[in-house]
This record gives sequence, C-alpha cells and structure tokens, in this order.
Amino acid sequence: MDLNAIVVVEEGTGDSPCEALSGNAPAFCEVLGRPVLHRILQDLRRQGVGAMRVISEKPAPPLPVHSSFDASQIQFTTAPQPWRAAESECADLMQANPDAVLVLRLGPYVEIDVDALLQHHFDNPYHVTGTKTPAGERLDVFVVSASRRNDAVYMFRHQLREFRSECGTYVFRGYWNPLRTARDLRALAIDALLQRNRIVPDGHEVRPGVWLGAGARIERGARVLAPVYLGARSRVRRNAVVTRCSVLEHHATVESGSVVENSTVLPYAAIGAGLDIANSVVGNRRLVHLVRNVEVEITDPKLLDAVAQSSSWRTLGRAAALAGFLPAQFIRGVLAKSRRPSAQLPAAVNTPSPALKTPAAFQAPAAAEAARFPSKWS
Amino acid sequence: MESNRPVVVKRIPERLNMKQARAFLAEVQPMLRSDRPQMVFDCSQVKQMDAAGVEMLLHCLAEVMKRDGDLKLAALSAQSAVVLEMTRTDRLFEIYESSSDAVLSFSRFLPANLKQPPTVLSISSYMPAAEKRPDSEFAA
Repeated sequence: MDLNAIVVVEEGTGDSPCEALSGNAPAFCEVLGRPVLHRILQDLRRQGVGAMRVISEKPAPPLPVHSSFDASQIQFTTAPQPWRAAESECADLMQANPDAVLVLRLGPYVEIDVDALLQHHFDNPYHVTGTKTPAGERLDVFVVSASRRNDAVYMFRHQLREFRSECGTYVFRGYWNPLRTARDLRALAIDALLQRNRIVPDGHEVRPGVWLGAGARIERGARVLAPVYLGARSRVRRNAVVTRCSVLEHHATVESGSVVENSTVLPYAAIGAGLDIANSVVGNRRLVHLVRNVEVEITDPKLLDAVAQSSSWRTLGRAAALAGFLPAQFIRGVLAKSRRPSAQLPAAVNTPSPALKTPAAFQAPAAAEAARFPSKWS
Repeated sequence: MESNRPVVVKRIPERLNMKQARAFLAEVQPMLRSDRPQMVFDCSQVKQMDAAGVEMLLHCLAEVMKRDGDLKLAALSAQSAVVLEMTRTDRLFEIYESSSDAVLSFSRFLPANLKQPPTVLSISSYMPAAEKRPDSEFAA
C-alpha cells in the first residue's frame, strides 16, 4: 500500500517549560540523543511510509549524515505560515496518487500503528479518520483518502480542527506522550530507558543499561549507575555520580563531585561542581524541579552554565582555561610552604610511645601520690 | 526551657546575588556579632539566589555558631528551596514553615519536628514476665 505523510511541527506559545528549557519546539527536543521529530520519521519509515514532508515555522534539526534509516524522500520545509505550506505540500503529494496520506501534527510523541490505522480507515466509509486515546484525547494523527483533495485542503485551512465531512475515529491504544511539560519530557526518557516504548538510545550499550553516545567521556572516579544515558561528547568529571534513569544529552557536562539523580540534562548544559541535581530537568540555564513543581532560572555560572555550541568557541574556552590554570599553579608551587620532613623525625619515630610505658597505676610512687591527693573536705 | 534573649527576624531580598548579599551581610553584621545571637531569615521573598547568596548564608551561620547562637530559615520560597537543596546546604539549617514557627522554636528546648509525642505506657509493660497473663504474646 502506498502511503505518504505530512508532518506539521507546531510552534508552541514559547512559555511552556518544555520550550523554555530547550529553546525549541517540543518536537525538536532531543530525547536520548535524537530529536523527537527524527524518531517519529524513523518509525514511520520503518512501517513503510513513502514520501514525507515536514513543515515547520523554524528550521528543523537536520538529519544526521550517517542516519540509521533511509532518509530519502524526506523533505523539510520552513514556512512562516506552516498550514498554508502544508496545504500546498499535501496537494503535491496527492498528485503522485498514493492510497492515502497520513497527516500528523507534532506536538505529542505517538507510536502509531500505521497498518491498523489504515485498515480501520479503509474498513469505514469516511474520507478522513482521526485518532483518539481511550480517554477521548485527540492525538492529531489523521488519514485522508488520497482522492479527497478538497477534504485535505479544508482540514489544513482549519488547522485540523474542522472537517468538510464527518470524520471517523480510530481509538489508539499504543504508547504516546503529550510532550507538553518538562515532566512529559522526563517521562519519555525514562520510558525509553526502561524499554516501555520504541525509542532506542542513540549510542552503544557498554554495560547493561548504560548507554554511551559517540565521544562521551567518564573521568576516573566518576560513577555511572544503570539505567543511564550519556549523549555524544558529554562529560562526567571526577567523583561525579550519575544514576537512576538520568540522561545527559549531547555536550552536557557534570562537574566534579556533583550528583545527578533521576534527572535530564539537556544539550549544552553544564552543571557546576559539588551540586545535587535530583528529580529535575536542566537546560538553557533553567531548572525545573519535578517534585516541587517549580521552574527556577539560575544565572550563576558556578551553578548552571551553558557550553558553547560552536566547537571552535569550546576549544578556545578550554585553551583559555588552561592558560589561566598553568600560571596560577606555577605561582602556587613557588609560594607554597616546603613539606620537607624535619631532621628530628627519625629520632621521634624511634622513641617509644608513652602508651607503651608502664601504666601509672602500677608505679609505686605514683600510687602513693594518688593516695596523698589533697581534698578540700579532708 | 525558655530564653529571654531577643530573636531577630530579617527578610532576605528578592535577588540574592553578590551585590545584594554583601549589602545584606553589612546590614546584619552588628546582630551577628552580638552575644549568643538568635536570628531568623525569612526567605519568602527570594526569587533568585546564586552561589554568593548561599555563601553569605553559610557565613552568617558560621558567625552565629561561633558566638553560641543559632540561625534558622523560615518560609522558603520555591526558588530558594531548590537552590539550597541543589547546593546541599538545606541540611545545615533548621528550616520552618513560617517566621513565627522559627521564632517560637527558640523558646523551646527541642525544635518542633524533633519532639516526640509523650509515651503512653501500658500497665502490662510494668508487670514482670512471671506475672503476665498466659495469653500474652510474651508468655513462654
């Protein structure tokens, strides 16, 4: 069966914690090394969807060069009015005469069963079939019969809220995540690490439950306890601990002595030394505490910092840090007090400890002295 | 056990960065240097706190402890609670829901959260083992 897809990435209002943390639309947020959008595209391609068009207001993250799935026939379009662009892209796709067109609005992460949805669509006499959860929540995943171009145009003009004819309903019972809040982002990562959804961490499983992306570095003395994901080029410095389903996305850094527990550190976030990060999502100099349900902006780079996104800036920064460190160490070495052992040390070592002498109680003079101890009552 | 010494309650400013922390410290310094100071910092207004703010709190605690006094925190805002938890300093302070609770805690021997309810002893616990009824769970 020939099926094409239109994916419209909806920009949020910008004030949701998910967007504030990552600075991106929720669909562009990275989860275990790859944006949610790429994961959905990969899932659709795996299920045999042919041509796909992705329309967004801001440029979508590019697919990696060595993508693990066939990225041909995937076209990204950036448009100030994405619904208008979706309308024309859909008309374009329908000219290739597929059997149906799948329309998704992201938003949520949905692991749709394409075969079951198509079967339901063709078994029922509707031109458009939408999906809902058993609780009745709309998922914004639709199938449109390819011969019904006007229905598709009407849908896009009304931003998938109104339909030209009656819309069928497919009850979706698979895995989905609304990706509205930081809690949802965290839940998606935990579910992936615990293999409750189809997301596979982007990297190698070096030990059971410990996933490392390319170039991730764990310094000596650091502890990483499964299940955990350390993204590409992330750093866990000395004596740091990362545990309990924690996720460090690419280029994230945990400085020495810090503990990251049940938390997600978003790309390019750096956690200062000696801190406790628990039950939180950290990124973009913000921290969302999931237990206290509060978002805190932290401007102090000693606590939370951002790693430069450009590799040349990162290299320059490291060189500057080294250039500052070496003279300071030299001066400290020159001015520090000498720790040479004193000349009397061997003699002191050879002298027996006072504890090895005869106890005072057994010495006759001492006992006599004790007997004559003056008392003010005597 | 009650104390007649005064308890000073100070409200911490909204932003506790390096500059504000210095100004606040200068303000409370005379009180910190009094004999056995009893102080409460009300953190309800705090919206932003950085490492300098945490350092200032620790400095105040150290000064107060040196003079055999105590410093307690009250009404932590969510932001300050997160920063204190993150920097592992929340465990160093006694923290109370409100300033009045913190003030009252100075006039008590133990902080309210450490107080145990009075133990109710049953008569059987005073009875020697031999006198216990045979149906008792302690009976041989």
